Parts: sequence; structure tokens; C-alpha cells
Amino acid sequence: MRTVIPFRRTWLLIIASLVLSLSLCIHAQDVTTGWLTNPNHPPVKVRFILTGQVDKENREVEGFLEVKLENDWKTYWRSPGEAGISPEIDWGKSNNIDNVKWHWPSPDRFSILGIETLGYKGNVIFPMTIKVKNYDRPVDLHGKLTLSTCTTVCVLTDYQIKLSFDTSKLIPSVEAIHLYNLGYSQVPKASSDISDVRMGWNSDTETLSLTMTRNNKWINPVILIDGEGEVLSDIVFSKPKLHIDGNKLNATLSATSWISTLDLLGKQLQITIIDHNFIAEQSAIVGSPLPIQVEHGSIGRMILFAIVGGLILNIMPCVLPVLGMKLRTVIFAQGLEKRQIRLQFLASAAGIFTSFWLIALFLTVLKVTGSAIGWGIQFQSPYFIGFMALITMLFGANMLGIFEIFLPTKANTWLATRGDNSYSGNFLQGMFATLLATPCSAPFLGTAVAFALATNIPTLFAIFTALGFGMALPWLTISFIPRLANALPKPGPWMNKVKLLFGLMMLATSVWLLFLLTNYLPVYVILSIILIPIIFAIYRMKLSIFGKKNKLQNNVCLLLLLVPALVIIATITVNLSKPLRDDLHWEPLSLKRINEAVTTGKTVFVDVTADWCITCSANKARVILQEPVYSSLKQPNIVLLRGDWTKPSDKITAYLQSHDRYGVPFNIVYGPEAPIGIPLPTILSDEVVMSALKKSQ
Amino acid sequence: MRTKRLSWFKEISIIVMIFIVSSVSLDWWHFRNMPQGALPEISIKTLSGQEVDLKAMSEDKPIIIYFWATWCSTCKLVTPTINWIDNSYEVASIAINSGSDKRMKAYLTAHDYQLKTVNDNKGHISKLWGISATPTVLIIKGGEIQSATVGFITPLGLLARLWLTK
Repeated sequence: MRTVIPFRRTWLLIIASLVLSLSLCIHAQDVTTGWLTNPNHPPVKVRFILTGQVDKENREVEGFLEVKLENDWKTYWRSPGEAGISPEIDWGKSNNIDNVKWHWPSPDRFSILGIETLGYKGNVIFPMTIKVKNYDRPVDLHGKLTLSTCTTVCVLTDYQIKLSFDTSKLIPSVEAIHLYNLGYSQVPKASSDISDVRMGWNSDTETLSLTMTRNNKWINPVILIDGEGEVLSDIVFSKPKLHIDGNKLNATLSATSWISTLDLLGKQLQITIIDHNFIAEQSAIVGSPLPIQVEHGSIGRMILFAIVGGLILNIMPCVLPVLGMKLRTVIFAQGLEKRQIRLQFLASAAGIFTSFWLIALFLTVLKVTGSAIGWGIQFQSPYFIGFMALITMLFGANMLGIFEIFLPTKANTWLATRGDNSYSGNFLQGMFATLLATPCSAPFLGTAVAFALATNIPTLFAIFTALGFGMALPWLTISFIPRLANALPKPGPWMNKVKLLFGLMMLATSVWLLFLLTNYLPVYVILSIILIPIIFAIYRMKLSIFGKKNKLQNNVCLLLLLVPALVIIATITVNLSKPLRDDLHWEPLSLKRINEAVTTGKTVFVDVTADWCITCSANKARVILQEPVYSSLKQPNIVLLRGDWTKPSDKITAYLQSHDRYGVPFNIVYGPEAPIGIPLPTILSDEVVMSALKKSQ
Repeated sequence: MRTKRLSWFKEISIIVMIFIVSSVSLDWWHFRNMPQGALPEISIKTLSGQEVDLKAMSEDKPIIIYFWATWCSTCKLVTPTINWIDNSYEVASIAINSGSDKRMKAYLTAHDYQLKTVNDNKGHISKLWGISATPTVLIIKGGEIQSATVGFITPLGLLARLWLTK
């Protein structure tokens, strides 16, 4: 009998604890509205949850509003910018509450149709503090949430929030507290890291100047200014122009409002600071103008960078496939009249300019519609790749003289004028040379492009024109001094061999482009794309058997040569574009993983790359997969992260932009000694990588 | 060459068809709840205190009702068009959740808009009409809703719609 009693006691304990935990669960369920939707606006879901955390002394209850937005729908920050309206809850029908305080998470900047707004996309949590009137009496939390969400249209939807609870009986819910903290970690708070905050207002120029100091060094800060109240909340503050000098930050920005006259003197404004993982909020009273000057981005220097970058683009690895096109123009310039040389080279230069303007136009459209932008992103489109593959195939075949044999005379003449020495031919050569050169990034070019993509549209066009000027410079030089053409190699029988080589190179490019398409299409589709022209060629040949018999032998020989040649080219290019065997252990790029690794004392090597990026492949073949870098990267204390930009990716574009980059390759090394990261140059070298790895450890 | 042109033509017509279908279905989605045909019985007053009788106004010629908001970004592009058409057609604009009367008046003056505007600050009128998205342009004739568009509209598009209802 004695042994039975402890046994019963155990069971009693287990049952009691089960009942208790069950009641906990019931309570945890009690304090949420569950997901609320409005049938008029399905892309949005909201819920209101109490975490169960209570501050008895201050009669405060913590809770949050969670909003889930699908696709491109956005909602807004407390100061939405040039358009938008912040979400609002009318608690009028509630009982036993004093007030509800919103804590606004730091927003993102969005630009649609050139209108700048501040808000949120995806999932957002707004933590709230509810002040209860009488702690011991039940509370009815009854509010009407009016949520504005916009894409190109704006929709206002209402949601009824109804929760009843006894403050003293609330029990903390682990899951709700986790979500609350997730949201609260994004809310800027006053920080002792920021000091010496001063603001000044110049009413003549309607500009606000700001200066502050941070104990730690500034990395890549985003500064937002806003004010409360009917007048201040209608003011739109522009994106500030920043000047950072170590720990000191100077900024100027303009303030506009449709309310008659603007006077900010003596007004209190909030400054929100977002700098990598650091977010803070300070407030300051506006005084008289500060004697600071912020460089308005040195356009002159950037244009110079663009010219140099464009010029260097001529000798980047991307030039290889188009070298044939370029040299042909040069070689055939021999023995021509001065005027012809001049016009031909000018036509090539015009083609280069046209391509750069086309790219600028394409980027402008993307920018205005609020899409992600970057250098070489046309290679993220399978249609563009397919189009270029076709064009290079035609050019290559033309150079090898295949059309002369297989195509009907009409088409043959048409193509000949395109790929030949006519002015339109030169123009097209310039255009395609440029379009094919864009998967290469070059020194200086990255800086200039980053500047161009971040500024306004006229500046973007100016920079791209400068890039075109840089790339066309050799062409322009010859067109202005045609005598130079005489110094070029003389045409002769050797040219036929060179022509064959260039034609094969062009076909190799075509195969490389088709290989890129394997990211989008199954292999058999691509194979049939290659086979169709070959079958067509055989068909034409069959016709010619009955026509010109003397050509038959040549044709068969050529075809027999062509098929294995294509196979060989395909194997070589595929192997070249996937240089060596990459057996390094790459993990997908994530900010969380970087922080995790750095805090555990590891070194992180980040490689943002794309299949179509030739500079990336060159870096891989020349540095990353060669000694001594290869062995260093294999060390156990090194974490390798790779971001793949082959296809459009918002996440990776955002990562690149957070480092002021708009293109690939991008490499950066993080470590205990370099938590902010040491960005590496576009073209890697052993020394640069090794010293960055050493410095960061 | 001819087949090439034909295929281009095909391609373009497919794109146009997709565009039409998607925009029509989007319009349909936003207008499911809108009262069909007849106008809701409601008396509305403009900022200047003038009573507006939409039925009487639209008796023999089409009029435009424009639902918008000061904070809606696409409205910033559409409002100038509506203000321009105001010279040749009767227009009543209804501003949703855009603040006090004073603020609305200041907004219209600052932008030099002469639109007859009703301040629907609590969204009551738009709810009665079943309108939740801005900008929305309705064309009314003989006291009945003839056409409705949501989102961006060009001056030409608006004129075309007005001619269709004539």
C-alpha cells in the first residue's frame, strides 16, 4: 500500500500540470483577433495580439498589430513622404483604456512613378503599448483600423479589432512575445551612440541642415526627418545629401509643403537614423542655418570616371567575342578613302552611343516603375539572351561564309549589307559590341554606374553618354585622324584565316549565350534551337545539289567540318564559362549567416556573382580557384557565402545597394576585426584577397 | 517578310488582349460592390457649402465624378487631367480621408485646382457608393452610372469614354 501513494501523487502532478498548461494555451488564444481580412481587398491580412506582458505600476499592456501584404502592396510609415497615408486606429468604442501608443518600425524608401514614399512591404509588425485606466477592471479594446495600401491604385480598408480581457489575468505567450520583440527591434530609439545633434533652417533656400556625431564610425547611413502635428506632418522632406567625415555626419535636405509659407525655425523635428544594424531616433529643435556644406555629388568627377571606365571596357574579357567584329572594321579600313574611313568609324561610334542610350532608357523605365535596377541586368532576361544568341549566330555564320552558300540570294544580300562594311553594318557592329560588353564590369565603371543609378534621370543619361564616349573613344580617334588607319595591319591572304577564327569566336559566344539559357529552358529545347539552322542548311544544300554541282563537294566538307566544330566549341565554351572545378563549400548569402559567423569569430568571404558575368568567371579562374587563395578559403574558420544574381533577385539587389553597388562581381570579407566588411575591387588579385582575409581575422 | 510582319501583329494583339482582359477584370473586381446603374440616394455638399444634385446635373449631358485623395500617388497624375476637363464638362470630385475642410481648401488653392470638391473625410460617401480604390473616375448620365475606371487614366482615355456615353 505504501508504494501506491507516491505513484498516485506523480499522476496527480502530471494531470495538474497538463490542466495548467492547457489553461495557458486557452489564455494565449484569447488575446488575439486572429487573421482579419476584408473581402474587398484580399491581398491584405491583419491581426492584433496581446503578448500578455503587463506593467502593473504604469498600468501598461503590450500588444502589436501585424500586417501581411501580398506582392507589391505597400502600407506607410507615420510620415509617408510625398504620398500615402499612415495606418490609423480609432479606439473610440473601447472601455477602460487611457490611450494606445504606436511604436513605428523603421521604414523603407520606395519610388513609384517618381514619387518617393516611406513605408513597408511584405510583413510588418507595429508594437503598441496600451495604457489601462483601472487595472482591476475588465478592458474592452474595440478599435476601427483604417489601413491604406497602395500599388498604382490606393485602397482604404477598415478592420474591426475587438478584444476583451482582464489585465490582472493576462498570461505571457512565448510566441507573441517573440513576434513583439521582432517588431520592437526594428523601432528606432534614442541612443547614447549619437551626440551633438544640431539642425538649422535657411528660409531663403528652404533647406534644412543637420549635423551629428556618432561614437562608432558611420557606415552607410539613411537619415529620415519628420515632424508631428497638422502643419509639420504635411511637409515633405527630401532625401538628404550626406557628407561623412569619420564619426561626424553633415546633411542638407529640402523641405516642401503646399501649405503657404514654410517656417521651421523653433520647431521640433524627429531624426531617424538607420545605419546597417544600427537604428536610432533623436529629436532636435531647429535653429538658425548651420555653416556646413555638403558636396552635391561631384558630377564632373563621375563623368571622368565614366569615360575612363568606358575606355577600359574595350580591353575587358567581354571584348573577346566581339573582337572579331571590331577588328574586321579596322582591317577593312585599309585602302579606303579618308571620307569613307571617317564615316565608317563614326557609324560604329554612333552604334555604341545608341546602345548606351537604349540601356539608359531601359533603366529609366525600370526606375520610374519602381523596379530593381543594376548594371548588366538585361542578361537576367531569357528573351534578351535568346535574341543575342540569334544575332551572334547570324554574325558568326556570315563571317564563316555559310550564307553565301546556303541562303537565297535576297536574304544573302540583306545580311551581307548588315555584317559588312556598309555604314549600317558598322552601326550595328557598334551596337552589338556594346550590348555584349555589358556583362563585364570594369574599374571606375562600377563607381560611375552606381552614381548614375542613384541620381536623377538627366544625370543618368549624362553618365551613360560619357560611358559611350569612353568606349567609342578609339573609334572616334580614328575617325578624326584617318591617317591612323594606315598604321593598322595590311589586308592579305592571312585575313581569311583570321576571319575563320573570328567567326568561330562569334559562334562560341552564341553557344555561351545558349548555355546561359539552360537556366530558363530545358536542354532539349536549346539543342533543337541549335539543330534547326543546321537542318535548314542541309535542306538548302540538297537543293543546291541539283543546282550548282561544282559546289557540292565544298558544301559537304564545310558541313562535315561545321558540326564537329560546333560540338567542340560548345564543350570548350561551357568549360571555359565554368572555370575549373569549384569544389568550395558555398552557402547561400544571408545577412543572418554573416552576423552569426562573425560573432563566433569566423571570417566570411562573400561572392555575389551571375552566370552571365564574364568578369566574375575571370575572377574565379584567375584568383578564387588558384593558389594561394583557394587553400585559404578552404580553411575551417572561413565561411563562404554566395549570392546568385543570374536571375532577378530583390534580396541580392538590396544587398548590393546597401554597399552602394549596382552590379556584379561584388566580393566582400567580414571578420571579427572587420564586422562592417572590407569590400574588394571589381577585378580581384591574390594580394588583395589575402590581405583582406588577414586583416579581418 | 510578310509572315514576319504577321507574327509581329499576332504578338502585339496578344499583348493588347492580355492588357485589356487584365484591366477589365481589375475594374470588375473593384466594382463588384458598386451600385449598378442608379445613383445612391444621397445629398452631398461641396467645400463651399453648395448642394450638389447629381441627378439633375446629369439629366441631358454626361458628368464626371472623381473619387480621389490628397495622399494617393496616382491621383497626383490624374487630378490635373480632371481639372483640365472641368472646363468642358461638369465635374464633382470627392476626396476620401484627406483631412479637415481647411486642409482640403488649402490643398486645392495651393495646386490651383478649381474642382467642385466634396470632403468625404470619414469615407461615408465612398462607402455608400461601394468605392474603395482611388483614383476612380465615374461617368454619369441621366442619373445612371455609365462607365467606371480605376487607376491611371490619360486625357485621351477620358475623352474617349465621354464620347462613348454621348
